Amino acid sequence: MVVIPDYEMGNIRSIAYKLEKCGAAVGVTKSHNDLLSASRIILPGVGHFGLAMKNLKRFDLIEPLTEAVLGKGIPVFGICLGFQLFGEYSEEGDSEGLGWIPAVVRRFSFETQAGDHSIPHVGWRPIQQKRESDYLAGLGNDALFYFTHSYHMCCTDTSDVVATAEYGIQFTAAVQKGCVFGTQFHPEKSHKRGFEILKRFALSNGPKAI
Amino acid sequence: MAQKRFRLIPVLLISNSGLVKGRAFADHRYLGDPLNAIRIFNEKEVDEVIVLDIDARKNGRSPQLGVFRSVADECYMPFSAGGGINTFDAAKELFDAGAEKICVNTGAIENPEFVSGLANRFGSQSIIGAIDVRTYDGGWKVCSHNASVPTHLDPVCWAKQLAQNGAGEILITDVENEGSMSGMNISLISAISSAVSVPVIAAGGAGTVEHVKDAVEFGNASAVAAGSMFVFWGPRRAVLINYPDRSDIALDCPER
Repeated sequence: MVVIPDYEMGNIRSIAYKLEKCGAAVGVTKSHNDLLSASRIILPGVGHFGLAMKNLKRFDLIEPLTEAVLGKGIPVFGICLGFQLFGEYSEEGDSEGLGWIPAVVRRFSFETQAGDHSIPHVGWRPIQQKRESDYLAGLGNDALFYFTHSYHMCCTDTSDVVATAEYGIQFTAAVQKGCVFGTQFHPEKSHKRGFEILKRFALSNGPKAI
Repeated sequence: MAQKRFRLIPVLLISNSGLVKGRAFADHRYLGDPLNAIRIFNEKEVDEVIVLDIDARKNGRSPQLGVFRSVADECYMPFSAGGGINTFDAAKELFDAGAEKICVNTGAIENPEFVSGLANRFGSQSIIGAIDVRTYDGGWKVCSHNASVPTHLDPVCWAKQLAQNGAGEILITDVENEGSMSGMNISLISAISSAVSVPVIAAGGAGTVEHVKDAVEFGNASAVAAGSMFVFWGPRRAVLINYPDRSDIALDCPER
């Protein structure tokens, strides 16, 4: 079962529906047992980093999630805010993250004139694949994906970065470290190509555990 | 020549669970099932859609969740929801339903701190500050309640205020032009775009690809939203869901 932890940070329903369309069995849960017995975990999220971490703590989800992913090697797919939570720290809310990927999450900061690179960055961008990933393979380097964010993940170890995109600077569009996979863009809102990534994650064997 | 990328956004108006379209916020005509339109927009790979429940404010209620849930399920692109949102609960329900963003209009005018509260809780990138503008005595004024009530607010100042309060995007609609398909109010769009650093979505009057390009090229809009252009076809306004090819809306611009 593909399990989505319910930490009340929005955007769960449309992802669950699309996973079901992939043919996956989907559970939305706060239960530790469900998380630990999942075949896959998807960590979505819309909103504020600091609040997201507070909610994960409030619902006592950090420990079972960490055990499921780092302990048991259950593949996890973080989307947008869920992906940023993998980092060690975010400037948004001056908050610690889950720390599964050595990275800090920083706000975009541009000195260019208004209109050129407004923040938040909202829109469709092509991604450039930096290294091979089963989830992104064959989707082409000019494939457009949908982004909406003010913060971006800066990885300490560039080999964790599987794809980047450009918005004033080159920023991290997707990471993969062992069974931890995440995208800054929204696959569930990125038409057929995004749906394909969800499908590969939900149904394939995916990468092996760390 | 580089190509400037901008978003082109169909706006779907919902009344009684049906898809409708009018002119200048009035005379709405029933067009069909909104989900059919969404499915066609999926096929066309549109940038995103905005779906507004135009009965909500009139009837003093939150947007109809049932419709928005079905829309969210069908949408393979981002979608923004709006109509009568003036509580955190209404906002949260829409995000839970699967909306990427919400449009706040009258709710923000009645309580400007509502926007900062929403931005703190849900993030600026998910809050669109929507502004409806009419011309009164030769000057622009913001109006509320489905553009039926004039306010004292100047749209440029109000756009700045909304952005300062945390709105991640501004949706500016020229009410009198809405549904006209006769071209967009470039001076209004340009005034708003130069006043705020957040993306500006221009709406009201787009009938052709050229109108859309003008709003981006001369009005500096980040995105253009339109209704009639995507649901009507030909001079007799036959109902036909359509969306231009990506190549037709590419905008060449010189490298800076």
